[in-house]
Amino acid sequence: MSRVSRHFKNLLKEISFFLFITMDKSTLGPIHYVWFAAVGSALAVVIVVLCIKEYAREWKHHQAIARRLQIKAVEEKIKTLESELPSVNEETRAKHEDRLRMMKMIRAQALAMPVKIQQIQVDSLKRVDRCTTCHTGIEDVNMNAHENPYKGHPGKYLQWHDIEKFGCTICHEGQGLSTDYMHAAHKPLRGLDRPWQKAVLSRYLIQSSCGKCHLDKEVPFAPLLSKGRDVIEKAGCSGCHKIRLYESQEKVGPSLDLLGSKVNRAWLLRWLSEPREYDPSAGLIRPRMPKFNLSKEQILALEAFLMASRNDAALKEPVEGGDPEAGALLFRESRCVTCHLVEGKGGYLGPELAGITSKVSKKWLYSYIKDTHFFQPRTKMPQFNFTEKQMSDIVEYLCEELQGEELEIPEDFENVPDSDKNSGEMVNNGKKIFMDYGCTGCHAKTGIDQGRIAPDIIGLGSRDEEGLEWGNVHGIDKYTGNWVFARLKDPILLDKKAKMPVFPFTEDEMAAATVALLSDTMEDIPSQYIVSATNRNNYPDLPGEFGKLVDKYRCRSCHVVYGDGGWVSMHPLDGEGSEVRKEWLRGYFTLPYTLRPILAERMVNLKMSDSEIDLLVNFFGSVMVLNSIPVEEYTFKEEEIAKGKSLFDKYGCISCHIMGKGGGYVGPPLTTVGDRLTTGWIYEYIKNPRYYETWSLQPDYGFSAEDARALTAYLASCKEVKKDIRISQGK
Amino acid sequence: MIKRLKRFAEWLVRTQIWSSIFRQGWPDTERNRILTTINTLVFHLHPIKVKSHGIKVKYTFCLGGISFFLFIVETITGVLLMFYYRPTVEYAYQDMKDLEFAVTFGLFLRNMHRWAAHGMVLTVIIHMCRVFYTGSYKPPREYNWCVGVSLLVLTLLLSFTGYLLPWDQLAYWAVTVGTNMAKATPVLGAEGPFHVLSEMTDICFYLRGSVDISENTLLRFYVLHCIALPLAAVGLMGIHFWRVRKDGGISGPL
Repeated sequence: MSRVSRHFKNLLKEISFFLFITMDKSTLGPIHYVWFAAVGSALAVVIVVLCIKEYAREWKHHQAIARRLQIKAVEEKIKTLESELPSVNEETRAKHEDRLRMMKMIRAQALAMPVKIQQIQVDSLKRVDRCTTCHTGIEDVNMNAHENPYKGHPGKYLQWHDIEKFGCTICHEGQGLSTDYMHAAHKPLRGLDRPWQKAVLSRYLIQSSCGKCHLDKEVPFAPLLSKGRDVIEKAGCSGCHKIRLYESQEKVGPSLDLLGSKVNRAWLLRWLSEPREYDPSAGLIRPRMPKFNLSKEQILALEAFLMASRNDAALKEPVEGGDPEAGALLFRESRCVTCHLVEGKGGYLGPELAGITSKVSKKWLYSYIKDTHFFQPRTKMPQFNFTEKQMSDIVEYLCEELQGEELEIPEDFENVPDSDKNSGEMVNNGKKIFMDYGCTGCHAKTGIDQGRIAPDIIGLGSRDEEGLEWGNVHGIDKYTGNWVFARLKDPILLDKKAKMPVFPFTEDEMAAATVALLSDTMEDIPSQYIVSATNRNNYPDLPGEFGKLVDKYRCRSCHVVYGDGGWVSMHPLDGEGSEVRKEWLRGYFTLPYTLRPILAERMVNLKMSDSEIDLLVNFFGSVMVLNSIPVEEYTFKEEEIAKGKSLFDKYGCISCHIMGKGGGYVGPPLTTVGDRLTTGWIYEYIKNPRYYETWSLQPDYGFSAEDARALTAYLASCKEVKKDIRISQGK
Repeated sequence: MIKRLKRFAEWLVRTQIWSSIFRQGWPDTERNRILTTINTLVFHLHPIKVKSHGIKVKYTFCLGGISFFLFIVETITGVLLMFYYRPTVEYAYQDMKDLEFAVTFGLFLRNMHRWAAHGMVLTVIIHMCRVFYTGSYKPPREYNWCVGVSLLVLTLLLSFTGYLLPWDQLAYWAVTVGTNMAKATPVLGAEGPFHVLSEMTDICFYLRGSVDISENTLLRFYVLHCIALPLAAVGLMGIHFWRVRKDGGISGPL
């Protein structure tokens, strides 16, 4: 033993001597051999560890498990198929054997699958994703029951978005190039030495990714995003900020011209100091006016400035003899509550009408109904065609039934002398505050046009949180989304000098708006990925007589007409002429009724004149038509009607639609649908419901042309007066 | 065993290949050792004879040697990394991720390059401290001290320029902050005291090649990191080593 060790020592000595070539043998003491041996061994260990680590990557482990799971599933299927084989009969035997062979092929494929890094390269989106290296079964619906990363993708999202064309990180974000859990940024892990700008999005935030390509207001399967876009539109964020998709939105507030003739002073002071006092049911848009951080002096100056604009000569006294009961009838008949709230119930387009007299005078009400667009040129309210007597009735009804208490000037302002308000200095001050706080973002005022006063929030999703002003906020994750949320909740918290007011959003609405704002990442998305049904800037103002009527009756307040409008109804009117019959349309304009009893909003009775109705009906019939739907009515045989009826019963249409006496309330009633819809539309709609209405709930049964025709025949025969139907004899 | 090795060595020095390269015999005689040092490009920086206390580790801790060794490691790993790295905004980050996750031993290469860089900064600074505390900067070594300080600055610059190349968040912001300092340069910086130049012509702009960190900055830093600074460092190192010998040897009082 000792001889061997001596020999080994000598060998070391010699090697050391060769290495330290210029050294004398005598200078190398025994300590040097120990050092040499220790360093050499450590190096060897390091190299071995390195090789092991290089070989045993995390993803190999996952791929092995995934393969085992896959093979196990296939083998179970093979087993059951083999055990069933003796008992199957002759007819299906060949099919059974085919399936067995197929399964065996899949097993062979799985066994032969090489262990390697998987990668999806999407050139047009400039992304390379290696997520499928671990998430191998992501496209396999059979793997849905397993845990991540072996799980299949939930839902049908991968059917709609081919994984080869989209990759993973365009929606999920994270670090697609990485192949281990930590570095793929599955968790944000902020505060580490290498922070990621884009970590994998949580299941709520991921909806913001939908908004990269889906530019419509309603995005299917993304309720948060859709709600957020709705909030942004209705709150009028684009009045002060430049926001993608809302660049050309109109101001959401009423014009403040002639305000002095409209409201009384006490109301205005209260409204400016606390808008939510007016309607305590705080929530979105009720009221839409946010609370500004104004001092008493500022409010007084603002009030002086606003009240200075008046034209009392324009107000007219209502005609004598208004009958409140007739007014009440008219109020209901005209469906005012489609847009206006009455004691918290009704639509959201117009202001609350309960207690209206504490805000405006009777004279104003009358004059406004009489000459709506003179006082508010851009209002969403149509110009109703009431007679003077009818107007007087309605005003009488409003003043009697919806009377509010007389408002007093708030306590703090009581001692301020009234005469101050007309001093020129005050008015000038008020004007300065009006412009400073960006009141022009929502309210038009003649002579003041200053554009957007707040910073652009284009590309908020790609902003870096380091560049944002965080103020004195502690204890929250410094992430751009949180910043937006905090900013909406209380702007002063982040920036003491912020002029942004506090909006009356609920926390849900704030979160939804944040998701929608984060969807603008400034990414260069190629046009083939963009989903946008409407081109919003198609026809900002419609020309001709039709355009005049659309403007007078403000059709676009509720409906989409040539790509613009639609705050109430989703259904665009652009193809209405192909959908409904002229006779029905004429009747509907004269006396609108509800098509869907389930909805609170109903078509407003505008009291249009006959000539106007004629013009509209003709325009709809000749211009607003879809080329894909034939103008000619189909003709049907008796057998087809009978077959259609049996199909109607077979598919249980009655569970959603009313037919005759009973039925569901999800879809519109079909009892007299033959009077309303054209045969061409019924046929096309049954064949392909979501082609015309992407949001439609109507199931796509995949009817054959023959079945669809039969159903159309049956539905077209459902008329109030059946004599109309044309039945071709013979042939 | 030893005899056999010796016989092998004797045969080796007689071959034409050996004698054409080294021009002297096995360095086991006084003469051959002197010839070895004089005839070899690398060794001729060294003195022919070293004082016996000069090789005591505790005297110098071999800090300069370790720094040089780490520089060589940086050069070798750096050249290998250059095979995989493209200094463009589009590919820089992607190539770094490829190195980490798809290239065999790529992560090891990157880590080695990184840790050797950290180590080099550390050893160069400790080296300077050692020289200071042992008073080795005093005449006649004052010139070499200055060369050494320049080498320290080059080491830090190499480290700083390499910092931007991964093109991730840390790199971007660190270099933003770092180059912003140049703005505060007196006279030459746009925001410094006695400034005369605008933001578009000041020293920071020339450093970045643009107003903000951009593709130009990335390319600039890449060229500096891979070509300009290493070449300068090699040149200064040559002078540094040469002067160590000329100024009185590796250690010990004069």
